[in-house]
Amino acid sequence: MESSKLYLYIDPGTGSMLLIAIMGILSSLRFFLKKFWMKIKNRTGVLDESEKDKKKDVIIFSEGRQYVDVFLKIVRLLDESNLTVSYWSIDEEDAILSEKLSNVKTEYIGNGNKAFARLNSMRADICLATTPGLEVYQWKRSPEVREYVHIFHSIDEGLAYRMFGIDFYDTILGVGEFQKEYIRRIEKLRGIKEKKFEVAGCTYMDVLMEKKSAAAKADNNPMKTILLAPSWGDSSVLNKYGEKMIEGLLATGYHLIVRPHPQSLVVEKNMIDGLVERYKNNKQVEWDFSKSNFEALSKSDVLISDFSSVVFDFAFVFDKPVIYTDVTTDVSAYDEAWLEGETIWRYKIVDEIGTMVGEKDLKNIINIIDELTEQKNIEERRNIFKNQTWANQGKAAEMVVKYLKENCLNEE
Amino acid sequence: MLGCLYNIIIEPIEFLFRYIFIAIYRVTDNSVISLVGLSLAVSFITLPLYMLAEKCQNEENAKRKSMEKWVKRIHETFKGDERYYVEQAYYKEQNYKPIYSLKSSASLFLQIPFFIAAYNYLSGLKWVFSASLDRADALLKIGSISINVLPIIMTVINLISGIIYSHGMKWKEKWQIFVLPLVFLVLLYNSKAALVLYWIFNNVFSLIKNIVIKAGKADKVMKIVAVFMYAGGMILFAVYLNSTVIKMSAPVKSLTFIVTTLVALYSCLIPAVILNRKKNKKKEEIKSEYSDEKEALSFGKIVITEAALFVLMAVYIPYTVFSASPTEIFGSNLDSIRSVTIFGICFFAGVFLLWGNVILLLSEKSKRVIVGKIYMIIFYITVFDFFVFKADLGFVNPVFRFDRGYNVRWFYILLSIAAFILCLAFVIYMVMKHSCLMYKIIALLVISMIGISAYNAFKTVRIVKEHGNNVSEISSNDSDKIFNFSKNGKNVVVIMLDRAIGAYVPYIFDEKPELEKSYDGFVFYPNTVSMGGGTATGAYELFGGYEYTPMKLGSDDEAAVSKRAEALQVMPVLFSRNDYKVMVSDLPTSGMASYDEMQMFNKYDGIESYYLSKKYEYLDYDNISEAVKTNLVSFTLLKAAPVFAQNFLYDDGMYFNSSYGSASGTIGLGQYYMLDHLIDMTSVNETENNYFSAFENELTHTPMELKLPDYSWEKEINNDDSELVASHVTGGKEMKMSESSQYTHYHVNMASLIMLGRWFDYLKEQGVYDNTRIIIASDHGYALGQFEDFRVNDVLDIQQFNCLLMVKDFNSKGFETRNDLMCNADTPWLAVKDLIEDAKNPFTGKILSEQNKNEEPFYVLVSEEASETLSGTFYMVQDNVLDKNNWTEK
Repeated sequence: MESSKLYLYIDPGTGSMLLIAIMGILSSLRFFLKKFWMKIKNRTGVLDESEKDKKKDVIIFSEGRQYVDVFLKIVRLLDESNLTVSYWSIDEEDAILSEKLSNVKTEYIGNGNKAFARLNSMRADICLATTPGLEVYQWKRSPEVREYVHIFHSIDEGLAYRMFGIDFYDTILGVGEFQKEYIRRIEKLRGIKEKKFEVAGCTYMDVLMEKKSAAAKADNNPMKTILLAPSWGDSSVLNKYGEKMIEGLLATGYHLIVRPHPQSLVVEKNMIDGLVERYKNNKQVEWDFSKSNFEALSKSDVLISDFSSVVFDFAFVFDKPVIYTDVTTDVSAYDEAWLEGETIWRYKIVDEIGTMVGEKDLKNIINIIDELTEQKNIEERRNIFKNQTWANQGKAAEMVVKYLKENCLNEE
Repeated sequence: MLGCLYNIIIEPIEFLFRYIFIAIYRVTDNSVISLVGLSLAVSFITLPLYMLAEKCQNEENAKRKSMEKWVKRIHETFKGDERYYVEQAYYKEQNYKPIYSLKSSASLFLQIPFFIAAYNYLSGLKWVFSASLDRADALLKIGSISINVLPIIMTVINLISGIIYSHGMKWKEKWQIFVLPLVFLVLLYNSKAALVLYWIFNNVFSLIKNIVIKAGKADKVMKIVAVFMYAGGMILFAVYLNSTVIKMSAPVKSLTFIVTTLVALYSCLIPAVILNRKKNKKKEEIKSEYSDEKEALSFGKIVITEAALFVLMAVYIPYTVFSASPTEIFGSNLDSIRSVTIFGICFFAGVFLLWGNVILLLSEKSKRVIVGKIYMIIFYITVFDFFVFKADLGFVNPVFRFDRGYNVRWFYILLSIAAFILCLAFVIYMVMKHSCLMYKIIALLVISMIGISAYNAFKTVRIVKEHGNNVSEISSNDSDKIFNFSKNGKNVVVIMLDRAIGAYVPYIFDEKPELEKSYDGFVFYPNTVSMGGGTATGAYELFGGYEYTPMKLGSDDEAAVSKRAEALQVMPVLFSRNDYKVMVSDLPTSGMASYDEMQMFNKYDGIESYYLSKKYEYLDYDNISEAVKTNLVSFTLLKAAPVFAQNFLYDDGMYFNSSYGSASGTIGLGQYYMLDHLIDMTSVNETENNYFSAFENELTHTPMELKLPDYSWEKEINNDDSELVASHVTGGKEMKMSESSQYTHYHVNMASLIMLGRWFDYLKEQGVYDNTRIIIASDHGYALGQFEDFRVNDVLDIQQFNCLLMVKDFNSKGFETRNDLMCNADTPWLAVKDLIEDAKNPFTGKILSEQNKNEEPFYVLVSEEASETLSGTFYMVQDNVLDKNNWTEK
């Protein structure tokens, strides 16, 4: 039977349906091949049975040293509980790995595909993590984990992750009640099941707060210090204004600390290197590449950033004013995109905790800084918003552990 | 392997289509109506699949549409692997898998086998369509260019249907709907008109379907159509039942007609009521779903039931029949057993294991138990039909025809209807109430059926093997040389070619001038008449002379039968008594009972009799197993069917093949091989003995298409269609060839004369030609309407009576045509002329002579049937029988 003859008895309705069907098959075939290819690409050696972990009550998964503040207190509290807990990190230099613990087992699980293989076959009742993109990227839900719990490593509406970032978590332990509305709205827009949402607080800000209280007030520099801490990517301050911004700030005569985003050092190394080279002889400029931002934050009087979440750390923990740069961020890859340009929480509170500057304001920046740092009522407004936003201040780790204890079903 | 797949997937559907098409054709005798019926049936059978596909596709489209915006955004925003990851995450979130698009395709693709089956069936269908339907229509002629109109009509309908179907679609989706018909136009433009016509009907139904679906009244309309189709089917069946099944007196017949028609019409209420009740019952059904589940037939049990049906039909029934007469069916050919068995297994596996499960899986979940129960009921009814209430039908021949035909008395048929209804009621009750018990019985039966089938299979194979050994022993003897020719004495050969047409000879010799050399010494008599139009009326005068014309033979009673047997013996006995060694083979039957007629010669010492064609019937086993295969399935169905439906399925031995010819290619082939092997059977003897041989060959009676230009038989024939149907002109006279019945008759006539010519050449080589008298005659011609001036009136076509007569006398030379008025009844006289003085009919004592043709006209019976000798019309003809003005009704 010639293939052409095959079509001879098909009427137009059926015929076009057939054509559509064939296209469908082709496209799903393509999808399949891609899936297959991805599987091969992400393939790691089959795990030995012996490598399989004994089922834990809780496994905490951390991406590494930058999240030590998020997890350390939780780990310490869990160490005192009777839950069986593991702490898995993909960063060999994660400080928690060297923490002295009696109950919690810490482990470096390697990185890359090896780590994914471990993660994807994890055996635990609850998995706690800050990492977005579960089930979206290579990190898949393990069939042997009952509940995935997300906690935040920054303050936002829960919309700052790349698309679908937290959709495959079961539970969100939020920073404050304000996040709930946004999370529910996104769920509704996508027509997906409501996740469990509970307010826990913000563990790393608690830590920052403690550090700040512990640190002596060593502010002996009479000169005002400006911290420029941009985010990264095309719409970040350095990419958008670059030298113009630095020149403008230097013109104020104030001391300037530039703290590029850690991701910039990876993605935009050339741009950063260029800038460092350009100002290497200028004593007025200080470059901060340290792991912790604590020092820089505590030293500075005013922070200039785009919408990096560091503004909240600075405003809420150090109680200092913030200047946002007027950059139109491309949010299309983020969950935020689903709200289609709506002014969301973080833009709404700009005026409450700081001020916004545009390119034309750069000439006038000294006045803006002086005005901000000397304004008195801004502190009050800041505090109102701080309390609205940040729940359970100082008690977040306890709240998280409480949640874990109450919800863990794995009774031995 | 591919063939097996075809047999599993498509053959069952093709089979169904064949039954639908031919059933309608048998009743209406109209190929166009049959096409409409088939198209309607195909449209209707595939409708549920279409609806399911439509539903799935709508769901799929809606889902895709709902995701369209964000999929587009994802594609714009993300790049590389991330795009894949994010897209897949989105699909996952939306519970959508790209593979779901296959779900809607699946039911769509399920339709393809139906299309292939319809296409294949119609393409391969012969004999049914008139010549104008058998080729591209060429209805419109502009100058020298002819345009096929039907494909254009088809395209227009297609486009209209497309416009309606695509209403409200985007152009992007629309274009293919309009491109497709144009592609079809190109593809189908030169197809035979019947195919295009079928396609047009399909499109009309599709158009209606689209209108109905768009109007949202599909449910209602479907129900109405279902009831009408059922009614049509029932009426068709009633008509058929009355016209063919029940042979009884006129008043009883009309009474049963009224009753069966009424029953048929009233039974239409059944689907109407069922379809109506469905709605009201829907709520109850949902409730009862759970209680149903409890005692539910599991999927496994349903599959076992299907398997039971499969074993019964594919192995048990066939091998019960095979093991009863293995050699009669298979001769000594084991390959044939294997291929037939594999075919049956594939076919019924397709019916029960493939399509049975497709039906099961496509039905709604809540209804699957009911489908399973229906399978159970079918199984028990089949068992009842095959084992309990069956008809004694006598022996079957290799292509599953009953020796006596299908002959069951009508009261038994009525009885079978009653028995069937009772059994059905009982089985339905049992299956509904005690499905578990009934299932257990099935499981037990399967095991025992497999055991018995295996035993029967071994038995069949063993007997066929033994027979093979015997046959090879026999054939190693030199007993095959049955045509004896004397080198020094005289030889007389009389050859009857059944239904050979005299008027063909000039065309045959014109096309193959080289034949004149082979037929050296022959005189051809174009002006020859046969007084009967069929073998039963025209063959006996050929063998017995003027004492056995239809007028003298009388009716179809016993006296006439023995008279006919006598006619066949006239020449053999006469020659035998005059010191000729006589051999006769394959003479026509006299209408005696079914046993081998040639046995009537056993009482004569000097006469040897054979049945050659029967021997050669088995020569091409490939071909015979082809016929066994297709008819086996039909035969199995017949055996599984209740008695009252059996005659319908028997279809007068044709089993829904479009013609006797295509179903029994083997019969024709036996005849073909007999002629092809004449030389092998010829023995030339250095003796003074005289020999007389007479035989009949029926190749000319089994029209089939042969391979041009040498008119040889081949399994696959690909003749150029235009060459095939081009009319022949010889001596300014046109012979039409446009219809398949016309050119196929010509083909077998040509082939017969070519093969006989080859034999004559051999006789020349062997030096026994000159001392041999050969008469080639036919019992009658055939009304094929090939010659315009042969048509006397609506009932009389001279072609039917213009029989063949060619005579070669001793030592004659050259090829000559004489216009003397002759009759095939002259044959005995021509045979004995100058050899036996005052030759007399050994049974009546009358002298064999020529009729005084100038004074006495020929009385020709315009009927093929001997039974109509008394009631039929006679025509008188004189002088030139080829002139229609010379024919007058008596």
